[in-house]
Amino acid sequence: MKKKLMALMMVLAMIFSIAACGTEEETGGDVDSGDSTEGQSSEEEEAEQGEEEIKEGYEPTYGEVEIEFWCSSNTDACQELAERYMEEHPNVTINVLAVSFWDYESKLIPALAAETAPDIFQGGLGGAPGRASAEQIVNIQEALEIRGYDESKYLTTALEECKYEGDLYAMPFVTDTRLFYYNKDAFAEVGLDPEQPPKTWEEVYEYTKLLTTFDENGNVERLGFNSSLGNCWPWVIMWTYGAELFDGETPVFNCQETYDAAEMMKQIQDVYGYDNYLAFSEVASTMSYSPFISGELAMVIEMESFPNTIATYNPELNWGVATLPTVDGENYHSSWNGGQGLEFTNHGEDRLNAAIDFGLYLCSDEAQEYILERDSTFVCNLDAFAKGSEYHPEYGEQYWNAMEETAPYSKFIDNHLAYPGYNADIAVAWDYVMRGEKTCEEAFSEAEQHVIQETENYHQMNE
Amino acid sequence: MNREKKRGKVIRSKRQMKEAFKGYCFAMPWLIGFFVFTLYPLLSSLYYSFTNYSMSSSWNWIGLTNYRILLTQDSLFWKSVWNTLYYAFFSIPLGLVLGLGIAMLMNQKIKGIRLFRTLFYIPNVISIVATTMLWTWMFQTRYGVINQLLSLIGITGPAWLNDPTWSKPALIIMNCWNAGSSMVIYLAGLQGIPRTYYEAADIDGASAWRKFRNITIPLLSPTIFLNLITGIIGALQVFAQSLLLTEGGPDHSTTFYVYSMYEHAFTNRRMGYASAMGWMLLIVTLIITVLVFRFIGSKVYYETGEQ
Repeated sequence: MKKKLMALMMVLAMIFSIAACGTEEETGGDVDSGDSTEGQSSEEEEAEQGEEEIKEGYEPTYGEVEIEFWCSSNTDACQELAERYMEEHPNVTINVLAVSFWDYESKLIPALAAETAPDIFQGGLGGAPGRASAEQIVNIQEALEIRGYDESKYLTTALEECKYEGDLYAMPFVTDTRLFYYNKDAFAEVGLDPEQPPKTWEEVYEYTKLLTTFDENGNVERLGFNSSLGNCWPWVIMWTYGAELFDGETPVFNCQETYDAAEMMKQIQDVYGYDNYLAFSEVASTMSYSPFISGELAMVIEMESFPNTIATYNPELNWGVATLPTVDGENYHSSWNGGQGLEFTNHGEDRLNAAIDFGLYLCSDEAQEYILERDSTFVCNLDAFAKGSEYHPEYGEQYWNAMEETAPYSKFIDNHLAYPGYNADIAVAWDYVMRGEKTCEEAFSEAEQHVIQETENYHQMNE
Repeated sequence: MNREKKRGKVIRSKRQMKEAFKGYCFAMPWLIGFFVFTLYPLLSSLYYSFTNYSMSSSWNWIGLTNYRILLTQDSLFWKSVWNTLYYAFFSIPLGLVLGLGIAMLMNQKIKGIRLFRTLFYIPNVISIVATTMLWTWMFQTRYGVINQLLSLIGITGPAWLNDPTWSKPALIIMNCWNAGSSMVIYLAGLQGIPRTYYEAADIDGASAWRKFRNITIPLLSPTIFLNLITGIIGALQVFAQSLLLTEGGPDHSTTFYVYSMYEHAFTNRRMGYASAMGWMLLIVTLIITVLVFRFIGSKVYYETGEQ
């Protein structure tokens, strides 16, 4: 009996020791220089690092290696690029898993929590700091420095979203932005110059009065503009009035600029009434179609990839495009960025280094130009992005001018680690104003109080 | 003698052990499933409810802080409680009455009754996502079939899903669509009532209402009670409809308890806090169920003579 007990204890001890090895290997942490091994003295490591810096070029040291790559954006392009990379690097096997955008988060979040996430994956830009603070992804700052990563080649705003406490935890991969599209034929029909889109919200209001048409029952046939139709959220409009959402962790969106923005959107909506907007909105969301493409909406804020959708569903539509209007046409040029970065988990040194090398390839001029050409996506590599008009002249000069003008002003929504769900509070306050149920002061004060309370709750949980 | 007894005992014990081993082998798939996928997550969530776990690799024990914040510093918590109780208060009785009514109709001996029964049950086998899409159409303010029908009798229908006053009633109406599930249980109960009681009542000249009140209801009370208990548990866990149809809006009017829990867990990454919410829900559900057993369970009639 004693012998059996001893044997059982030994087996358990072995299992735990093996498990402990696995855990140590799989937990996140800083990336080593690429070839440092356990047991080496710090002097040796430093000497090797020094050598690599002097070498002016990083040389991978891993042999046969197999890595996992999950993506939800530009999936076909990613698959093709992985194939190309494997042809050039026969020692690297990349298993690409393309997941629907809508299912991606629900697959990724549990995988990260269970430490079974892939070696390299697309993570929503802006989400990296949260994942970094939760120690779910790897700090790649040092690894990138060793590989000579040039930060100036990438969109600054996207790059900043990849940083946590000053270090890079992700590589900016692809992004998106919002532009102001308008129907040139509708403009001409009501006597507006089709080459002169509105520059201020006041002009949008005046144009909406001209462009909105009603049937004999008072129902809207063509609606001028509504900020909630299309791909736009309250904070985008608020930014164009000069409002900011946070100063550090403190909400500052309950301000006069926000009130002005909300009141202007309400004024525009009052041209046709909330009921008419609702009828439009409900049909559009139920049928998943764009009233702008069908000609029932004259002006809309949509993503930069919208011309593809127009070309698919209504290639005859005579559309124009511009940067988002602002409060005075001069200041607060702004738009909203989203997109994907490339993030990494640590499943062993070789796999991590191979994943980072593959990530760098995906962000290279060659790969980014391929994505731009194939999917006409707003890539984060600025040299590649500059060739947009060469690859896609069909979008017209006006489009590429608007893109060029918007890119430096386009920004990401604030990342609030203590209360990431704050944007729902802003949306609720905005809806109160649009329905005329609360004043701006009441609605946004309540939202602000709730954000403050939730932030305090977070700190009480984590103090 | 003693030796034989001892030997006999050993033989019996070995056989018992073999049988027990086989029994455990057969039960193993369920046992593994129970321990790994039910008991372990359940106990883990209890542990996490006392921590600030946020799906990261490190967390701290924070005692009752999550529970304290939940009860005293989370304004949305009480709103979600109110929304859920409102939904439960109306949807449970409505579901019970509707299910029983349909079951009574489906208990007639008429031609094609099996087809009708199938038709009423079909909504329960359709995916909730498809059902939700259908109801989104039906609830449209201007072009939806419900408001179109209301306009025929001179009523201007509300913006069902975009008006905080009407969003919860809309989801309660939508829940009636699933009355087929309780109908099937009622139907089985109804068919278990001996015909002789009705025949005796007929001889005594009892009216249809009297038969329903004095025969059907008492003999069906165990089935009604079962549907009540499952209805309470289901209503307190209402989630998918608000996620798919209204995303908790407008103005948090359909932010039900479980939806709020989901938001805390996956949007705000407060898994420990969400676990605390989960345990609060379990405790409240247990209390309500015990109260229902105590005050209504005693009125349930069982033919065995037990009450």
